[in-house]
Order: sequence, then structure tokens, then C-alpha cells
Amino acid sequence: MRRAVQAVAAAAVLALLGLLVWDVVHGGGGKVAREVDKGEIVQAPLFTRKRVDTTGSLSLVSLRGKVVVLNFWQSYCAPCTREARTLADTAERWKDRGVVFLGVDEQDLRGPALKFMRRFDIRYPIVADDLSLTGHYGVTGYPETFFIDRRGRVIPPHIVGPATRETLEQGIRRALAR
Amino acid sequence: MRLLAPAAAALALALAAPALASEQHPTQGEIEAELVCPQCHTPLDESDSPIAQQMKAFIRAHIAMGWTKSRIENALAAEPGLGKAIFGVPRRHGFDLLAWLLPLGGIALGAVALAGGAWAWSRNRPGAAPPADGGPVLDPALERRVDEELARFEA
Repeated sequence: MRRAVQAVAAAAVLALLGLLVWDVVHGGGGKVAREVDKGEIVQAPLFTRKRVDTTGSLSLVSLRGKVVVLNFWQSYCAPCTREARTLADTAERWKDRGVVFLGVDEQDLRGPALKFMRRFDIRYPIVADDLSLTGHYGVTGYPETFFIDRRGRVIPPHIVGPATRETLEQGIRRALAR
Repeated sequence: MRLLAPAAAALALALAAPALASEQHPTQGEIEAELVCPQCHTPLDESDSPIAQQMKAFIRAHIAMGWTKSRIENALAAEPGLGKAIFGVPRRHGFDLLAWLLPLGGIALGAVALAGGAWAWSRNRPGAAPPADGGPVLDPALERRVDEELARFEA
């Protein structure tokens, strides 16, 4: 009886150890950014988050069929202010051509976020997140921008730091070509 | 005895009054001491991160608007970019109440187990149990020797 209990305990410990090793090896944290930076195309992690710019929620899956420019930002991030106007202008330019800009406002208060949006005339949808998405997408700082094609796949390039008009146009054209 | 009830009521009032005042008219420091910065995970009153500064400004503005402490804290927690991670201690209602009750239950269970174990140990100690007739238990050889000694003493 005692041996059986010892065997069960040892098996449980080994199973937990195996689970830990599997999680470390296959962990999703940072996988999207890592793969895309290697030139790979990966399925975009789906999410539903509350809107900052209006009431209700928005699901990424509802944008399937359109190219999505996914931008992670914060209202108190200085580099985000440098790209904000460019993002707003580029979003307006592409909005009638099957391209949607979607901002993910990370760990921010609604008031300052709305102020930021008014300041830079941002009219595209913004959702709020409490950092849970950064792990899934492998975001390591702000701002970062991903391009998602019509089939919901993240395609290269992935912009780390402030986006420029050129980098945005290049990403959008590549996503549209897929 | 007649004085006990009024004294208890006075004590309860004395304790409840500051808590009520703190809830109705909180100070910046009181609220900051109960919250943590979600970015650096330190108490809000010790943090100077950008999000902590935003939270402090929010608290300041809403104290000025006359909001109660719990209303301000709940409004901050309802911000989709923050959530319950801002609370330094678990809430005392809903599911979070378990965080307070489970350790108390564990302590109570441990105390009962300890008491039960001590009682069982004292009962099962070799030679501790009294004999059926209530007298002391003696080794037969020792008992025989005591009898002999008594007999010699009486002789």
C-alpha cells in the first residue's frame, strides 16, 4: 500500500515537471512577434476587449475579411505621441480600401486615453487591455504595430517603435497582397 | 452588568465613526495606501510610475467631486485597462471574501486537529490509562515487593 502511494506521488511530481517543461518550450508568450520577425506568417491570437472610444466591445474576429493594422500604445508613452498623427492620417487614407486600424490601449485610464485620441484626431477604434494581450503578441514595449491579413494571419513586418508613413504603407500593401 | 451594554455601544460607535468618516470623506493618502501600482506592483503611495500618477490624479479629482472611498476605488477597478490588480488587499465581499475566510478556516481546522491529536496522544500513552478499578497500575514484581515491605513494616 505504502509503495503504491509513493509511486503515485512520484508520478504526480514527474507529470508536473513535464507540464512545466512543455509550457516553457511551447509557451505562447512572445511567439507571434518572434515568428513574424523571422519572416513567418502566424495566426493572430483572437481577442474581445472593451472599447475606449465608445461603449461596448470589439472582437478581432469581427474584422475578418479586412486588413487590420494592430497598434499597441499608451497615452503616457512618449514615442507613441510621435507616431500618433501619422497613424491617424494613414488610417483615414486607407479606411475605404478594406483596411482597418485598431488601437490597443495598454494599462491606461480612459480619461487620458480619450484626451490623447482627441489631441491626435484618432478616429479609428481603440480597445483597452490590462497587459494580457502583450504576452500573446510578444509586445515588449510601446508602440508596436502588427499587420493582419484578410484571413486573420499576422504577416511581416512587425514595427517596433514609432511607425512612419513608409513602414505603415509597406505593411498594409504586403497584407493586402496576401 | 447594567453599565456593560452602554459601554460596548460607546466603544462600537468610537470604532465605527472614524471608519465611516474615512468612507464618506476619504483622504488622498488613505486611498493610495489601499491600492497598488499595476505597473510596478508597489503601494500606490510609493510609486511614481506614469500609470500611478494617472491614478493619483483620478483619485484627487474624484475626492474633490465628493465621491466616497469605495466609489472611487470601484471606479478605478472598473477601468478596463486596470482591473482588480490595483487592490493591495482582497475585497471583503463576493468571491474575494474567500481569501479572508480560507486562512481563518485553515487555522481553525489546524487548531482542532492539534487539539484532537494531543488528546489522542495523552489517552494512548503507555501506562497513562487508569485501570478499571481506578487504582494505580503497578508492575506485578513491584507490587509483590511493596506487599512484602508493608508486611515487614507491620510485623
